[in-house]
Amino acid sequence: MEERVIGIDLGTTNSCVAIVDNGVPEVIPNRGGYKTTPSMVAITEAGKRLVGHIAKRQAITNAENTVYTAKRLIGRKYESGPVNNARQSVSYEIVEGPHGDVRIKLREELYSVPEISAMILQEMKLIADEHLPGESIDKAVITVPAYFNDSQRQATKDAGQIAGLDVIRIINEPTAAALAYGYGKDLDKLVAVFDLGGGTFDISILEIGDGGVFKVVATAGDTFLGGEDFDARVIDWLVSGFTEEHDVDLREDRMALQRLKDAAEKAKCELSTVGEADLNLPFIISVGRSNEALHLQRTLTRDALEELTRDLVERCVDICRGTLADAQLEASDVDEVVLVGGMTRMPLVQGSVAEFFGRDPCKGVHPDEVVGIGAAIQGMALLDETEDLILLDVTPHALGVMTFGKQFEELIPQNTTVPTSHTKIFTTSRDNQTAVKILVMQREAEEDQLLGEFILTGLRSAAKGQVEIEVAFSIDSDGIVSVSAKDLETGQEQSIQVTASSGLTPEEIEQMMEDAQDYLVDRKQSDEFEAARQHAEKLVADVEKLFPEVEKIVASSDFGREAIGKARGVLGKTQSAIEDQDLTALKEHSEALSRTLRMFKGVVSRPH
Amino acid sequence: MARVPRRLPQSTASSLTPQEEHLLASVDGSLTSDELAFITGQTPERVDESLECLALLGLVSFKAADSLPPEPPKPESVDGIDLAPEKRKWIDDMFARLESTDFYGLLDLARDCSKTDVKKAYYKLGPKFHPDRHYRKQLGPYKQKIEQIFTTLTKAHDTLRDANRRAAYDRSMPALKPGSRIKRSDATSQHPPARPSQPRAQPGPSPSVPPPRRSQPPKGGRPSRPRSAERDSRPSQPEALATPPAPPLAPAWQRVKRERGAVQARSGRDRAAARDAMARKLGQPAASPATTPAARSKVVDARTSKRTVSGSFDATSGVQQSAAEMIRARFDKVGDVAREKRYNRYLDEARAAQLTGDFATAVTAYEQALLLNPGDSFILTKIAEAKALRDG
Repeated sequence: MEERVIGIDLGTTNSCVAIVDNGVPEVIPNRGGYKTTPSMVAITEAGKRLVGHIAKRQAITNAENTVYTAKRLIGRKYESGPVNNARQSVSYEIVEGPHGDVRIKLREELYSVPEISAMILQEMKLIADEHLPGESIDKAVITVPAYFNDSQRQATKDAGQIAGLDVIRIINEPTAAALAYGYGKDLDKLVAVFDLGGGTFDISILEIGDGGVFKVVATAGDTFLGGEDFDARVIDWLVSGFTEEHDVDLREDRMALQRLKDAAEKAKCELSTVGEADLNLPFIISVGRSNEALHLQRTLTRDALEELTRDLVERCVDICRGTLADAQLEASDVDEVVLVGGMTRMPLVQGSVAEFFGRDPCKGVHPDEVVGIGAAIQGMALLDETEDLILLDVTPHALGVMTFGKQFEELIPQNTTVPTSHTKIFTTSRDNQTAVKILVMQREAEEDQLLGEFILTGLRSAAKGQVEIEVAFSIDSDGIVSVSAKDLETGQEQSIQVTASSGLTPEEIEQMMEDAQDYLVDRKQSDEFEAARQHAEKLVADVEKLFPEVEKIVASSDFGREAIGKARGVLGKTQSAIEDQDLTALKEHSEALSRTLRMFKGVVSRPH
Repeated sequence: MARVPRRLPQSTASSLTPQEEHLLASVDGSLTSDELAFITGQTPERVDESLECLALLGLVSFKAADSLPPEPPKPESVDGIDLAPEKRKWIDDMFARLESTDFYGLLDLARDCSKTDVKKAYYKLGPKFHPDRHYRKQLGPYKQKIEQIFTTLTKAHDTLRDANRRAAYDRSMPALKPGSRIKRSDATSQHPPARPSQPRAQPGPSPSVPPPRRSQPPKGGRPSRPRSAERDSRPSQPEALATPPAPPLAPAWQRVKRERGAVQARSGRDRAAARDAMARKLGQPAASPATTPAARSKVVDARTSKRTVSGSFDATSGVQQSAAEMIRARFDKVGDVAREKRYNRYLDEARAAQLTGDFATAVTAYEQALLLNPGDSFILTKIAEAKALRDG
């Protein structure tokens, strides 16, 4: 059988898995029938891992141990601005890791961000495995925001590895969306993909032509601009309104904050279809000596929401403008605009995009599913030799070296089609300099990032500017950057392959892989638990149904009253075992409960 | 004299020049060297020289040509590379064209083609050389070739589709390629096997042209100005171009490059042996003095040349030493090539700036060029000219 590969859209708020089946790409629904799964992970009191909808459902009562929007932290340094911001706003605890990386503390245990992402990826793989019985696919294409840098990409790859996946390619989300949009159609078009997701914004311009060639012309974005920021505006509005009214800061209560988050997101989504949304959060907090309960009740109109978030949308449009200008294109050159990401459902976003490009966006794609589908298509195209589809992607960041005086010297410009290679000749900056340090840099909006460094020694001792060094950069199709420096006089050469650091050592990844395997055993157990729970719940329902009648019959005798009391006890224990997700206890108590049920049935069937 | 080269089994060598790769790929055990020259579009002299080189590296042999019946080589069965022979040939051909053909030629376009033509041509050809077409296949040395071809095709496309860049490229081309050079040497890749009746019909002009560095678009070909009296005897490259047939010795950088390739191709013991052989080989032309002083001076300056000669003379006692000297001389030349490249780049920059009316930049660029070649009279006049323009 043809080797197959799954495509995973590892989103900030939701993830999606897809596969190409007989040439038809399709999203694989999860057990609950949903096509997307919340990118949430929680650890229960009993130490169980919960992923997806089940994690989301318990988020309010377990706010401190539920991780969401981990993608905003992946591949970032603890000290970086975005991580600092996140520390202020998330309900879980972020601590510094051993390599200056980010770790998340859940129930006294530290987890790296790739580990958290790996849990989500593992869940996505399980969804695929369940849907395709007898076919355990471990090859995957995972998507990342186009504007992710090298270490964010590497960290995502590490997450895949920890989850036991063979990540055959990391591709950009807007590019994946374009693949999904253009797959199977014979197009000759210039397409703009406007991707505003839960956490990130990307814009990519692609040229599609000649039977399946997808050439990215330009791409740009902001890795900290997405639906979460829209929610934050609504939360701010709710919190400040509440402070005005009651002089209480809701942010200090983690559970209140989690409830606000849910309500804000829900209201935002509602306002995409209706004009006003009510936010009703009774007993949001209790204050004072008397523990007086306060309620939050407000109405948000679409206009008010648009006022709160207008600048965010404008930031997106500004990035679009800049990207087109860089590519020497006019908005009117674009033949089609594809909207991706849940946030593009907001009328203000749609309106602003339509206005900027002077055309209505394409309606044919599903904003939540296209990215996963595109990833699956790319995976299929890589493995299937007969497939004509080819993706010519670009490097989103300029690469270069840091020269004397902290100058960034560009070797590979932004938006260069990969694979590519460029060389430049440099010279020494000091007299009698016999060694030169090559600092490989990646240009970024905030701060240029050091990707790697090496030293070329043995230069001839000469006046500055006399010795010449040729520096060559290349990026291969897997995005791996190699840099070499050569002394043109002696022919001496030094080179490195830049392996971006995700903040994890290979040993750590190894260990995490093992842990993740252990979890798989856990997961099997939780499947078992699920079965036991269903069985027990049916027993509980049956027993409860018979209770009144049995009570009436046997209440007259002491023995009967005792039996009733015992039955109540068993019932309660079974219910709490379900709540605690304690499999052993549940098995034990449901056995007792089934005995009770038999007895009850006996009682009611006896003629009186 | 037409010899029939034959490929030897261990035929995997890296660091050959594209022309040599192309030649090697065309060697099938039945074609004579003259026929090979015709097929590859290289001059018979170049072919002979390259074949000698390949023989030294143990890649081809002239010997058993008559004792063995001509057999088509089937390297794919032994080297573990997942590529069919015709695919390899196709890649080799394209790789060879990278240096012998300009951007228009690579994409098979006329000079007056439209942007749409460029796009169409690139979309048709480029993806065929994208490494993803051979995802997770064993490609051996072909991986690098494919990436190189793809990168160059992309550069060709990006340049020719951008009006400004194309104009700059066009401006830079005539200087580099006077007259016939503009014509593509289709013979390099598409010609049917040679007919014996006209084996030398087309000594392709391209091989004697300095190939642009693959990593950069060919730069405007101002010949490097002589930097000192010592180098005055160096003929500039266009002169060498204008006098076919090619001089017995290739321009310095060509030899340097090839020899470097040869040295790199070997390792350890082999490397030392190849180096010695190369030194002896280099010694030979240098030892026949005065026949082509100009050409010779391109390889080594007079002093080094003498040393080489003496090195070759006492080859029995001091081969190692002479080889080391040869290598040093060779790398001196590499340094020159680099300087020359920079010099030409500054000139281009200056010229481009002058065309756009940015005379201040032009002056700066000319001054940079002057630094690389102090006392260059041509540059001095250019600086004066640009300064005058700048100051109104």
